[in-house]
Amino acid sequence: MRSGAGEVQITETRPFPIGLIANLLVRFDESERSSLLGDSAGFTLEDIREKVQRVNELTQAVRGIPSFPNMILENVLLRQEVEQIKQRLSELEERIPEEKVIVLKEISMEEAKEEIRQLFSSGRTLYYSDIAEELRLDLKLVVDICLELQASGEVEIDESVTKVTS
Amino acid sequence: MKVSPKLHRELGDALLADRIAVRAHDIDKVRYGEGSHRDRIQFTTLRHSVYCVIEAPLKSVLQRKS
Repeated sequence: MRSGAGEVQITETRPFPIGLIANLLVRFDESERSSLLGDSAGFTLEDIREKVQRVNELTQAVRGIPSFPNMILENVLLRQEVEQIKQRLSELEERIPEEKVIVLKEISMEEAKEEIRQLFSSGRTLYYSDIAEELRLDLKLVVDICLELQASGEVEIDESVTKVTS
Repeated sequence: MKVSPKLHRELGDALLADRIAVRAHDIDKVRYGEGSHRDRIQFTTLRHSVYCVIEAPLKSVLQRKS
């Protein structure tokens, strides 16, 4: 009576990775085929050297493939580099002056003049560009109106500001 | 009272001021002069329907007197 404890049944077969090398070795040409049929069934010294060289080349190629731990390390380094680039990019973006879209209002000159008067009534010191931005008016229109207001004596240049800045 | 600003349209007319407001359809990328980056001297070009004006701080006369 035989117990099955010591027996190993092979239920599946896996392809041996050396198959590629084996293929190289069995890929002989016509001269080799004819020699096999003739007196000698073996390889010549030249053929063996050639096969050995092919195997060596293949081995070198396999060695060139990075190992799994090396690939993980490279991945980590690349991620760090990407993070540094992202950080640098955000720093550069902060330095770029922001672009702001202003939809200009299309109103009559009298309406615009009244709005500018109201803005000045708050007591603020304003530049043409400030007025144009706040009231969403065309710069040229603002300049024309402000010149009129200056001529009529309603507004004037704030000397206290110009003295500080000059 | 209609007041017309002095308009300069001739080639070579220049504006020199501490503050100039501009309006244009196209504004080129700002460039830095070589070796002058520390002084923040910058150059650019405005194109198409360009309007530039020297601006000064304005204040209401009534507000200033009060």
